[in-house]
Amino acid sequence: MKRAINILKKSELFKSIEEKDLGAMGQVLEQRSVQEGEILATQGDTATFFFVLKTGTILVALNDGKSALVNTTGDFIGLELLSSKGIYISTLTALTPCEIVVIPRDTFLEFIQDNSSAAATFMQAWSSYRSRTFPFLTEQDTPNMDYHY
Amino acid sequence: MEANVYGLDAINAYNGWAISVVGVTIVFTGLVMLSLAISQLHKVLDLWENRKELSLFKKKAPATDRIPVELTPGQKESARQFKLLAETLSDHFSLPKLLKLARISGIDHPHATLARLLEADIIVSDTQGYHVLNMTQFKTLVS
Repeated sequence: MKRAINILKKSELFKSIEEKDLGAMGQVLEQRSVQEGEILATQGDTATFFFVLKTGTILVALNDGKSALVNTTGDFIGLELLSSKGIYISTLTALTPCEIVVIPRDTFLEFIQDNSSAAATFMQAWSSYRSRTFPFLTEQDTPNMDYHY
Repeated sequence: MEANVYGLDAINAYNGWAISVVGVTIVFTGLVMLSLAISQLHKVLDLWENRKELSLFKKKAPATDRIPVELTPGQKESARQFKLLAETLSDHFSLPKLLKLARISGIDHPHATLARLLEADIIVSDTQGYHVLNMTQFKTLVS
């Protein structure tokens, strides 16, 4: 669990959040190894997990053939990039062997709802990260996304 | 100097007024400076809290010069195959579609090869969610 939290702390999204707040979520964090070609999430399936990358490269396939690569330690794959109303809206494929931290979606959303200050910090960081890393991801791609992650 | 003077006379006689004015001035100046310092304290605290952002305290980042990518003969062959497949798509192509074509075509380790081509900047993002072939890099590394 401590190792998983350490990986989260390397993420620009989670680094501003107090360790005690992360600790509440840390109980259910899980590290997982992923093989080349393995599919982590399939568009249309029930969304159960969000992911934080430790090592490797993951292809995030969105609508209309659009895609993005996630390949930096601490990169977060979640929120409207991955799911809407409990359904995955993108398919995640590991291009190389990866090490990831798996965050149960419900746990993460509870964390957001229960820690208003941490949530505000996180959402601000996410907005900045999203527009920088996925500039093409418009509202049109993710309609009616507010509070339906 | 008269020996027995009292009250205001004594004050006048021994520069009491001047001394008291100097004393009052010193005290008030001190208080003004103290209040100014306290009013600016939040800026100092902000600086301290964000000290990691200050270049003075920032640790120098390690050199990030990229190691030149070299492709093995097998990867070069796969790159040629990927190029042929990409040319069947539009100029700005979909990466998942290219990957699917590569899998159908039986290219060895299509995922890892695609990752390698991306790492080598042979395939680059057009920042709109699609990708393009970088022919200059392709010629440099593959041809």
